[in-house]
Amino acid sequence: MLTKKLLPEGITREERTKKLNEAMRAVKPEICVERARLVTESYKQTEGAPYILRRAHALSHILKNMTIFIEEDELIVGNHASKPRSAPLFPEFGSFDKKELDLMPVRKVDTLQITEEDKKYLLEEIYPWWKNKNTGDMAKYYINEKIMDVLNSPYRVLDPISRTRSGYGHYIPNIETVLKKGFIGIEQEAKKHLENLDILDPDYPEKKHFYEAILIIVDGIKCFAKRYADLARAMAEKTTDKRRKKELELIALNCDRVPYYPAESFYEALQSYWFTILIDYIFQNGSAISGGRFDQYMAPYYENDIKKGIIVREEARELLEALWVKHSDVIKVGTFNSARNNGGFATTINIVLSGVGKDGNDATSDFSYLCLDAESSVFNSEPNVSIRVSQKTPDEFLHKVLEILVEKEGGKLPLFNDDAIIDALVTDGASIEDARDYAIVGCVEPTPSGNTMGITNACYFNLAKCLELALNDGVCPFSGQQMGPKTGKAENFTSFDQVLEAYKTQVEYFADMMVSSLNSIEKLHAQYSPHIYCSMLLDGCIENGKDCTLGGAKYNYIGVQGVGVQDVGDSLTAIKKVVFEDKSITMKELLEALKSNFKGYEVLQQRLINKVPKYGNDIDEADNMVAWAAEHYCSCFDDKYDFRGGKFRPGLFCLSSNTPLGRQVGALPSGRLSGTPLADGGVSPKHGMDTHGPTAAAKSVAKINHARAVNGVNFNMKFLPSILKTKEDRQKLIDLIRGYFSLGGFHIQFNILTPEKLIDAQKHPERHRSLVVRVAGYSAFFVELDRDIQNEIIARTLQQVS
Amino acid sequence: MVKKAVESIKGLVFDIQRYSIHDGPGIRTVVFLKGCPLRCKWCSNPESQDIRPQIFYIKSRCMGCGLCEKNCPDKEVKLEHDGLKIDWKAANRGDLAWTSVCPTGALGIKGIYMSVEEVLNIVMKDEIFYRQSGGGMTLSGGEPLMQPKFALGLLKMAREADISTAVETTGYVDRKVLLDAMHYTDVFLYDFKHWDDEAHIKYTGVSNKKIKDNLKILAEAGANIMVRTPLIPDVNDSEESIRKIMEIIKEYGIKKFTLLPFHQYGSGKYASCGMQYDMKDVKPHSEKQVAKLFRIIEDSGFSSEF
Repeated sequence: MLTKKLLPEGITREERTKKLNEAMRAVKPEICVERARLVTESYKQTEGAPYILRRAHALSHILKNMTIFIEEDELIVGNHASKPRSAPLFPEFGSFDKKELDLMPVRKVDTLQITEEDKKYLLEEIYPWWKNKNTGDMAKYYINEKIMDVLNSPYRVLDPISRTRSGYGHYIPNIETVLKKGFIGIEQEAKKHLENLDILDPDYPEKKHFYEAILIIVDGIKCFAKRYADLARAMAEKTTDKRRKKELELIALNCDRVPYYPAESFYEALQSYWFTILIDYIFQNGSAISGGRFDQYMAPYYENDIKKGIIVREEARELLEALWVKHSDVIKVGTFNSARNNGGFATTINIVLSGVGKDGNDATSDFSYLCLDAESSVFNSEPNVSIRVSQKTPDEFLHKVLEILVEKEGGKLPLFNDDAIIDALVTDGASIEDARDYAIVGCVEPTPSGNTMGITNACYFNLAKCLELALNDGVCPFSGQQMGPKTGKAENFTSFDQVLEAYKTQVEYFADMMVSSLNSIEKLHAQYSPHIYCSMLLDGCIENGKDCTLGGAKYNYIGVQGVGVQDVGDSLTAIKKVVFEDKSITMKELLEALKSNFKGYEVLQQRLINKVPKYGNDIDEADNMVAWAAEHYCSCFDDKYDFRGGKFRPGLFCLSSNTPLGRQVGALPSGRLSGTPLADGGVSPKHGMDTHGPTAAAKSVAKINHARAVNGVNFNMKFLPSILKTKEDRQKLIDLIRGYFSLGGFHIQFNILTPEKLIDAQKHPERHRSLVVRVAGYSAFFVELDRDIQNEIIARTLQQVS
Repeated sequence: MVKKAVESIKGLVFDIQRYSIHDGPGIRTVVFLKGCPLRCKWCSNPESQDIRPQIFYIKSRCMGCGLCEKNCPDKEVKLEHDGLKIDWKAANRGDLAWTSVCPTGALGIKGIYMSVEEVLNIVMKDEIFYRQSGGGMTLSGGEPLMQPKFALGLLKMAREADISTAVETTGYVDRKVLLDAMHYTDVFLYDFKHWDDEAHIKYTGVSNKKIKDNLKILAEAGANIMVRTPLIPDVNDSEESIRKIMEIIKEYGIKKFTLLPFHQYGSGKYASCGMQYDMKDVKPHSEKQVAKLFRIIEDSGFSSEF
């Protein structure tokens, strides 16, 4: 019996997915220098031209000349670098010195192979040319010197400089436009604008450059797809395998049409999606360029093909899974420090399923379920699939999500609260239709789709460090540097209010520094690395004739994350209780204990840990303090805008940066030891401190006003698989989720796994290559994570439930 | 009784556990009351048995600071190289407040006196989750009805707050108390441990006659009852044993029946209470063995859903 209508018979969906996945997972990631060579060639040719044209020519040059290939049994084509799952270089944003390059193959996180020859090529030919020309090097001209002094300390409160190296990412391109109109539609629009440009328009030259840049890029895109069509035909001609021959011919037909022409079938739409997102990644060093509401814009193509009888459901799933695997092809290389913050080759291509439609009604469809099926078969760290949950989302859909989590024992599929997030986005200034059409950027950041320059993860802000400085008159105890303002000697404080005042002053001082330095960096990007490709995919830019880096898009934000609000809250509660209420010790003694990292003060440390209420147990005294610290941090940005008019949007999440940020902070009054990780997630209760079960933890978390942290929060909850054995058990967890959401919680993420499994994975990484875990809001292959972070995952509270 | 008077009744509680999902319908908070007339060898809450407050020592949390030794009234506790040596009988006498000097929580008290109002305040913290799931409060123990005034007060106030109420009982209680409790109890989780009286006495320390009679009367009075049998290897885990129990309860008109498979999660608590655990070498059933018995229950027409 024939089971397929579009694809040739001869291989099952399971067989193909297994082969594609095994091939992808078997790759030993390496550095690819090809892009560095091509972009340097192009920049040399365009010296003196406006940067927006130089950027356009560079992309076009890469697309026309980079190595392309089609792997065995692939159905969706398009590669990121010259080899599968390898990392291209972006010298226009920054270089790596010899030390960093030498570290790449031996570092434990994001390990990358590189040949001596390539190292030599980069250090002698590529990077010298870019010296003082790349944005990383130029940051020093843009940022205030006093701020630079702080940023240069290894114990700094914030590190905005990494933004200069990463380029643009963290936004949701309007892929639906490309599916519907094709790049030909965008080309025609640009041409029309160019023809109608008013020569008296004071911005005439900028607009002219902008539209010309679009045309240059579209030319490159056309050529890129054609190269794949040609390659597929050549391969089809050569192969003796009849089945593969037919598949290659189908691939060629796809690449003849998309992404230049509108997609006419489901298969074309998938290929168009992949090219569109891939080209962005080829152009930019940024991560988290998101897929957006995939099930919403893709479903009509699927439904239409099913109705017309040109495809069957199982076949659609086969195509979908082939596309799913492709997402793992995109990896970026960061510095050792950045890899430690975000580790696990987390590109975080976020795809959102379910939720309400623009009309406010439930938009879950059969295709949403099909996407879950594909996700459960492939289950790699990419794509980062998120689930939108409204009151109208059927329980059945959530059961399916939980079943996958239990089966895979790996935490993916975070859940987002539609009702609360949509309200918050409207309050934040989005129209109701745009708010309802939100998707997730990166790990947890909600923004409208296809019209927002989000820059949602611009910087982490170490709140725990600010508290440490407040207790030390602004002096960093590690370096002795006067890092923050002088807020008074803490041993002389006579009231708890003075502690709060000192802390607030420190936070506000560094918040201003962050705003200033990020604004400078945005200007730097706007001048030297306009993101013209992204501008083609964000509503507003083409109409305004303005690049997205200059504020062309409909909505503009910069997302800044407070980290350690839990450590701050718990520490403040401890100070208030033991120093000012019980008066069981003096501030001087407490400071001595902190200074000695509790050595000789072990009993005091245990009292601070065990006898003072902690956040995460539904105890107002502790929770309100954390909520206060969260509110204060968010309020620092109420009146802050960047030069594009973009809002600074506070968030409370940290990926895995709580580990490295913890290394910058000494012992804290909460009982935490010097250098140990800060609390994870952003709003998750501190490891091991939430002893009152998941409802108590959820209620504590919901006491923080998530709507204020509109750039996103992260609440991780870890379960043993045993508590989700039966359907009734899962229903209760769904009830827990819905209860938490009705309290205003934005996000919840479950890790359902056994510690034994993780410890075993540390010992035998080879046996656990497929084990995907989420580290504080995103997922990665466990065995690719830094050992410290692995240990932290293991230590995270097991929500023991009997 | 007026509400105020009910709220101020005090009882002895040794634990309150939120997000309990196997103790009645929906998401529940289980309130564990201290004291039990039975002494089952497999008991997984040994700290529940005695009706008085008692010391509980978690060795793994002890940092060896010796503060307890310095602060105990009469040398009941001694710090040795591998943790505390406790004279349990002496230590459990009198006021145990001195144990609060322990900075780590290794040394603590099981059993504190709380008012109905205090307990309800904690229970109602999860109200939103009860509304979502149809859950509520479950009284457990020990035998919660051994503190009848307190237990009835809790049930009454929970009913007034319009949340689901459940009682886990050994059935070895005063009949009047049981029938009074029925007025405020949505479901009884009624333990029936062995059909044979001799065996029942041997393993639990009491006769099953009162338990059977109470069950019958409660059922006749129209209470919603789920009978539960802890499935203990070589005690009551034969097919015959289960069938006998089913025969008896079927006669009483009971429709809900389930098994609680043996586990050893409570073993560590025996040492923490200064007690001996006798079931260490007993091997829990395989999932297959348990599934087989569950199938028999189902085939006999019993439901195991709350």
